[in-house]
Amino acid sequence: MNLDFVSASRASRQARVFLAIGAVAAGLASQSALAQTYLGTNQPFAVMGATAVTCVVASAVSGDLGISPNGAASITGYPVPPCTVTGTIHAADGVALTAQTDLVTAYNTLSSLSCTANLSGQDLGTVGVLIPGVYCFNSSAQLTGALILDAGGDPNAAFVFKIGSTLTTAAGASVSVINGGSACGVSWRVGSSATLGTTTALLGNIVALTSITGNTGSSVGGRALARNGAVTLSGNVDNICGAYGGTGIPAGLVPGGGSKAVPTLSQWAMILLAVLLALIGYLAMRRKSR
Amino acid sequence: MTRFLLLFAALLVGLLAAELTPPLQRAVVEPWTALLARASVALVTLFDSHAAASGKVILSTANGFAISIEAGCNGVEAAIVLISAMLAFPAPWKHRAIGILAGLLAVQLLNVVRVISLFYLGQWSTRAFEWAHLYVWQGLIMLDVLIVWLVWIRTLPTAAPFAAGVAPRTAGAS
Repeated sequence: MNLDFVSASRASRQARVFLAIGAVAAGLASQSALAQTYLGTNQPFAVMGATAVTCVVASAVSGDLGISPNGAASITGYPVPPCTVTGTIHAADGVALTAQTDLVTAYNTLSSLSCTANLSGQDLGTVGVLIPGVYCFNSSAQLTGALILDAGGDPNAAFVFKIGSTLTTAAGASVSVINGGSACGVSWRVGSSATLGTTTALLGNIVALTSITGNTGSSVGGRALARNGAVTLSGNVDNICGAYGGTGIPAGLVPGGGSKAVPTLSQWAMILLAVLLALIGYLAMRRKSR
Repeated sequence: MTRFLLLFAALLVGLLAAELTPPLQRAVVEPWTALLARASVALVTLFDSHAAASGKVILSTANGFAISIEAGCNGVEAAIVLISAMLAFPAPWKHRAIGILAGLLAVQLLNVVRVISLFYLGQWSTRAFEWAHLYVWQGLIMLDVLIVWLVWIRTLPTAAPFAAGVAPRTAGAS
């Protein structure tokens, strides 16, 4: 009787250990299953340039600031107030180099996406409300006034603008995401350079082949990433994308993308696997100890 | 035996926590994920010229279809569960090393097959893709790990001091 009690108590202790293993493993696994965007190691960056990063007038960079292949000598203004950087500055170091490499990948990823619609010749301020998708311009794109992007209730909705050459916004232009979306799901793949007019309020990640210029009072809620040229700012760039759970690529092109992060093993599969391994190991040890 | 369970739990938590740290993510997990995508696409392009890899995204240049291999989709977590169990189980270090290598190989090879199959399933049917990704492949990966674990345990020398529940003190203890 006593022996039974002891073994039941031992079994109960061991069962608790099994469950504890599973629960902790599941908690950790669920964190790692968060989706990441196509930007790779550029995610912490608000600004990335290749030849120069310049603060013309007072402007704030919220997030990391990087430059590669040029170094610190090509950063002008930052981080001396009123040109502020709240993140880390990476000047031609390994982090910046990797980020620039990832930027090439990111640019190519966006370039490879099929167009949902071709808006060549139209001003983005006149196209009406856009739903998630890939919108293409054969050459330049212009935004005058307001562009509204409707996420349709999907917090990880993705909007990609593939622009053949330049992106130019007029003074006071704006981009807004409605119906539960995030600025972080908006991407601007610019074939040459992007120029933001004064007081433009742009949302999304600008991935430009050459350079990015933000004129006085402009703001970017996202990232300004230039592959081969300079980033010149007279306005703010705020990387507000830290918690974004989507891939940045429209869900129609990435099955299981967006909020559906479907890992190799789900939380419960991890629990089950850990418990089974522990159980088999336990039984094997018991058998061999006899 | 309790020592095995506790050590397993500690290793599992420790390794999973370490895997989540930014330095390891940058140094190991992200490059590994990109390598997995490249390896998958290298195999696919042997018989399909319309496949291309861009980072962790595998694309079909024929129809624009793409799959993205996310942080939890690279088989690393499954391998960590197996490695933790092997390290916690009382066994000679030589056997542990062989088991871990065999386990990593088994999990990662199957994961490449999984990625390639999902790439084509998704082009054929979104429903089939979801079903395979959520149910079929999870079961197969688990089965793969369990088989490696069972085979490894069966191949362990019987003379190890299991009765005491203590791992051998030296590599040649068996």
